[in-house]
Amino acid sequence: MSPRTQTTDVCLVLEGTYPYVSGGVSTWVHQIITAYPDLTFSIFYLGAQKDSSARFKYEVPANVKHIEEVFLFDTQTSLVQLNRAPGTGWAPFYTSLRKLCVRLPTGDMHDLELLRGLMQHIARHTTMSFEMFWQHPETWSVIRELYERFTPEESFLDFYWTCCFLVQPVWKLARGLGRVPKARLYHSACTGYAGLAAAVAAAENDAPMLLSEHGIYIRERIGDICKSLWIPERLKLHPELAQPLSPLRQLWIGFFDVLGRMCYQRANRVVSLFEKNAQAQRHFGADPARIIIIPNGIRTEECAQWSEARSVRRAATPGTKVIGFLGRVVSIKDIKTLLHTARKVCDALPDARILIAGPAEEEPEYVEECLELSGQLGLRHNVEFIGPVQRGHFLPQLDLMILTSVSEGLPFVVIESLASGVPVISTDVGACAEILAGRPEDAPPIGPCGLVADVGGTEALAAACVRLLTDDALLESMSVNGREVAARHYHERIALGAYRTLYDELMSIGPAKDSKNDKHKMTPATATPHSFTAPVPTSDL
Amino acid sequence: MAGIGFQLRRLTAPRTYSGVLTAYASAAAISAGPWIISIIALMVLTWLLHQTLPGDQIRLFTASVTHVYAFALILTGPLQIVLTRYTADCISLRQEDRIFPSFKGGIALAAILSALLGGVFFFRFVHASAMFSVFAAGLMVYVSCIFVASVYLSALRKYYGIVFAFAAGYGTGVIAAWQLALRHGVNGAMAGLLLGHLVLFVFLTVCIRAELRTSAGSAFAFMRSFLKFPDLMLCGLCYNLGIWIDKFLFWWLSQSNVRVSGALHAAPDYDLAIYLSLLSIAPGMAVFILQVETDFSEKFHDYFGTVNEGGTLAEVIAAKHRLILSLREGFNRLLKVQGVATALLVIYANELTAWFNVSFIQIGIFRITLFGTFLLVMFLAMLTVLFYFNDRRGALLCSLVFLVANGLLSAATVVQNEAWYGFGFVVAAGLALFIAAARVNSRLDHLEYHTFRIQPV
Repeated sequence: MSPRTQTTDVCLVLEGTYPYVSGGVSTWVHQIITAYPDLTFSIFYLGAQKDSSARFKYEVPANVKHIEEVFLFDTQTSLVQLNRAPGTGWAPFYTSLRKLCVRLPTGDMHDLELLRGLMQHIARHTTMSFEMFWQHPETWSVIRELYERFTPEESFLDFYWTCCFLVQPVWKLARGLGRVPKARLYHSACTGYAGLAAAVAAAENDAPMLLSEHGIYIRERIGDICKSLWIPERLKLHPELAQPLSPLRQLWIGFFDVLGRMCYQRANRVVSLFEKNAQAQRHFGADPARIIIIPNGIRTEECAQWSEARSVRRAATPGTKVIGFLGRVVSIKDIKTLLHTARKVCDALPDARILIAGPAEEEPEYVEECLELSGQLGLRHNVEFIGPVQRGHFLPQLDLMILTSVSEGLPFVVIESLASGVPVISTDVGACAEILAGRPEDAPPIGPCGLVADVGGTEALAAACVRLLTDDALLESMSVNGREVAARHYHERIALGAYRTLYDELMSIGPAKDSKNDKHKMTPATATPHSFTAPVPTSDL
Repeated sequence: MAGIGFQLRRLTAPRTYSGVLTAYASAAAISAGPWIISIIALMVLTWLLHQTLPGDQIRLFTASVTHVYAFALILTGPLQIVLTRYTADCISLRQEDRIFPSFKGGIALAAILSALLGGVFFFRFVHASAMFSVFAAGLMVYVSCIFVASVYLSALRKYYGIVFAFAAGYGTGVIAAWQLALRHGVNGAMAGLLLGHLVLFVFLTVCIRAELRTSAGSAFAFMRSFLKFPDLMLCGLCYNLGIWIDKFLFWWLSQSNVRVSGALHAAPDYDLAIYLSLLSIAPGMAVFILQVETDFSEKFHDYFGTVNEGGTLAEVIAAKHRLILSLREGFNRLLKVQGVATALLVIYANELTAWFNVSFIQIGIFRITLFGTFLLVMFLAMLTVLFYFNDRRGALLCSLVFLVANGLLSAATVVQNEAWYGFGFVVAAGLALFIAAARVNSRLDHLEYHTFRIQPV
């Protein structure tokens, strides 16, 4: 049996992560594959552009039998302008396309089936290139209909290109459908394109689908879309009449919203890392009955020795004030806020030291800006950028860990710090507040193991640092609580056990039609009926 | 976080669309302008020479000159149209520096090719003195160079320089040919005409150099446009060959054809009629070009401006309608002016032609070819519009139809008697006009589709 036709137990559908990019999701993927050597895995990897210099960041275990890659934003330079009319076979294609687009997709199973039919058609008719499709008069008339129906007052040029950018990756994905490995279970690590790929592949192979979200994909895309500059914000003349978002941005958001809903609808189980994200998933269309919370976990016992090393060091050199940061030096971690906080801490405690550890190659310009800012703030003697480090060497040096991210899921670095007895001060992102608040409801109850401040709140962050660094008793109690929280709630065996149970359960129910989700079930009440005006989440999500 | 580092912010803003506006309009006018002037000049010259040269020498002279013009037009047709496109692209890319080098390259190419063709033709296939052959081949080089230079005239702002160049060139040519013919016979006539064209070419080059001062890049960079737009090149070839094919057929096959010398033939009945009627395109063409250069070009810019500056589809379509109205107005004027001119010429054909010593048969052919040229003007205008809207395939199609129809139908009529002469040309021009008009209509109907269709991402 060739690897392509061989059916593996689980096909992981991954978008822009493992094995090429390191980070939380990739750590988790690697953990899962390594934890179940008795299961066979395949990986369907979706990337942006093919980069021949990219190398695997992980040593892929032997139970991964097959890796397939598809690149969605590869720009082909083919200038072929064949004006060949698509055969008669394309009439039903356009009928379905109209049905899907013009009647406002809501992301229910019916829409997914329509989209799947379209994608199958694209996969079968390989002679039709995207360019040929896009330049076809029938496509043009569909675009016009959509425009006239939904955004007749927008720039047509922008609408046209928005549509092109939306459709092209889906087309590329459809072309790659034939290469999705066969598996008994499709497991996607996000919604979006990977979620769509998993949903379609699961339907094709009559297999169940599992979705694990570390962040909330749609919310991250909304952030991107709001930041993108070229989609023009119009209606500036009459601000009181202005909608918060231009119709074109709403179109982008609506597109990802629909993809997300399709994915939530098709998934037999939706896994969330923590409660707040589960709420967001419900908001964006996931069935509450299918959501399970499985937090990330680590081997806390490995950290115990680092905790001891730290205690020994603190006893030997009392009164040190070392604050650490461990993570990639990138804008999403908001290192600049960290530096402003450091300035305020050093104003109060001139002998404080801040160690910024982690790889710095991802956003070199941002690193440059941070170094410059550090100089401008006069932090040369207090702040050190020390690059990648060994955890076992780094964590014992710290009195305190700080995390200033603007967006996180359930960060491994927080659990590792706590397990190593280092209390954490963090912005209120992802699961951080949940983790650091302790577990008063546990028996016996566990107190807090860190402090939380608002995103970008340098005053509050600095005050928290100063408070902990000047109150040894508090610091010590948080250190003890942290080790307890990590060991009890964020041990690897909890997460891996839960996933094993899920895998076994889903693979045993086999074909999806036997599960409780009827394939052709119509829109559940939770779906918003109008995708192009998808609600924009407010900050309380 | 999972997810492709979403590319939205990296997607560049959409490219802008532009119509290749410049120079096309004038291309038609310019190729018609020298044509008309040269026909008039040659008629005057022929009339002058009648008093000094024997009949067979006059026939040798006029047939040679006609062949020179025909070969030069067919040879430079593809070159002219590709150079026109190249300069238009340079202007829209704001790389005016690259225009003058292409002038040099175009002239060099035209000179080499026409010298080869002219040399071979006049030395191998025409039985005339070596001196006459040298002058005739030289004339072909200069005529070709002037046709190439005319491409650049539309880019110039100082029209009076051009007018002066043509007046001086043809004036010199006519007078020198006449005077030299008095002393040296037909060789002198050819040498005089050659001198006139030399003067014209030098003046034109001075005019062009005066305005296109800067130059950068290779002289033969434009050659890549031949590969990029093979359809344009073919279109130029077909159109010019189509214009001449009926004349070649009549020279060779008509009952009244005259073998002048070697491969040089003439068909006096047909030739004079059709040259006279070609003169009639002047008023219609002038009116149409005026409309295109003023009102239409403004609407054309408006249309693409609306597209690029974020107009809604409704605004884009409204701009398109204004464009169509302007075009319709242009065709209306063309129809009226050309219609009246043609009607007057047909009615007063007898009186007019009496002046030119025209035979009864020629008057009949003249009336028919007047209709043909009327249709030809309309066809030329439609072709210009197709170039504007970048429908190169459509332009090629109708030029090809014109060529094939004119070839086949003229061949069919030429073997009949004189009563049929000219009908082939009329029907071919009508057919080409019909197809071109249908293409223009469909292009305008779907203009916004074709505008956006150019190239995604």
